[in-house]
Amino acid sequence: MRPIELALNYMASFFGEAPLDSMESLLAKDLVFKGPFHEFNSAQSYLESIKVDPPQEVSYRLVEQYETRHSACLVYEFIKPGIKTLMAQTFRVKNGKITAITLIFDSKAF
Amino acid sequence: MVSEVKKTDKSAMSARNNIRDQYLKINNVKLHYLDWGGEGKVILFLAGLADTAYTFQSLAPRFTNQFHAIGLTRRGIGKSDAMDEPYDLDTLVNDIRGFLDALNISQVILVGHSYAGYEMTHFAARFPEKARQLVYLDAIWHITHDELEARANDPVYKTWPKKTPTEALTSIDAYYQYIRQLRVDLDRMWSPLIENMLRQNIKIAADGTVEEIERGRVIEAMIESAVAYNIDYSTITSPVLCIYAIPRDHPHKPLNADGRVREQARRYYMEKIFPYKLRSIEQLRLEKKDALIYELPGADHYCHISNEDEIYACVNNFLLS
Repeated sequence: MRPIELALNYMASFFGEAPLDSMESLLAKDLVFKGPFHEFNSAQSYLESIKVDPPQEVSYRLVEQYETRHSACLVYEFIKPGIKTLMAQTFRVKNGKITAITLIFDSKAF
Repeated sequence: MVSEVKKTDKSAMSARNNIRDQYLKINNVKLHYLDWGGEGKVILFLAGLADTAYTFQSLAPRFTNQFHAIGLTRRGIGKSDAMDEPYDLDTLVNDIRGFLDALNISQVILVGHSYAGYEMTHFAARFPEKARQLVYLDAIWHITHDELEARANDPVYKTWPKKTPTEALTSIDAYYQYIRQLRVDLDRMWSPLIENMLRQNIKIAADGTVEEIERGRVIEAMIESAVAYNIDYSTITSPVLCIYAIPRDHPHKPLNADGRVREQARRYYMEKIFPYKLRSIEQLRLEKKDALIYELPGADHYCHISNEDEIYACVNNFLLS
């Protein structure tokens, strides 16, 4: 899969458009996730945290998408009751798996 | 609406490869600049304190498919003329204004890193009709006397030699090696771009030895001017995007130190230095309520290099929105 396809499939899983379990197949085991609230150094720890505290009543509106040979970046509006904020998320890809995700937004929105 | 996928195109590659040093004499000072080309609205990239336009050599060309990208090196730095004085913000901003006038640029998007935040804020306050949009790349950081004191007491610098050791100046490779020992942030993203950035502030003799260009007084004067500057974001009428890095570690490394000392250095930086940046960001939030702000977790101060993809996506989206 191309980086942008992996990124969009990830988004579908995260935002409930596809089963959450389908996310696992997109991620490399040694995934590095960096976000303003959390950081993880493996796909397992990241997936466990999502399962413990699954995203609820959330959706997104894609604003822009970018792709290079080994990465994809999505700019989107994150929507949750009472919250609407811009986020950008980069997905680095190797051997058909997402190896690193960087999520950036203004944490004051939450 | 879902937009089409944007790809890095060949024009960015070409803009990187075809770049050459250019100069303009502004206010009797020769200023160095890089013109990566492109058509459309002009983006002027402004580097951090001791950096040159080359710091944007990878990021800036990516904008040339929709914008005209130019980078300016301020007076006293790199290949721009250096003199004893002046380096106050009025002078620096007059240079930017003169540079734009010389190129017949009536309105500009300013994208600045670090110290350039001062120049952008002052430029937008003085010439609001000229400033189309402002993008602060880890550039909201107001230097105060308290912070300068905290930095002076930083345990990392107590382990550094006062002067670059002679053996580190014997060749360019030895110099790079020395810098990589001190600068965790640069070491992490080491590349030909970083080497080129460093080469702008040194001279290499025919026998291969390295001489650092002395800029102590210039840097001091710019910092003095920044400390004295009364920042007021409420005066800015242009749209503002601010992306700031949240580090996880001290950007610089104590020399010959064990893990315990490195941990002390990390804690010192996160507890005594970093909060000054957060206070500055809070001021921006209060005074410029419509500013778009992104936090870049686990990033370095040179976030336009370490996190180029994220920066490009956020900036491009902001400029086109």
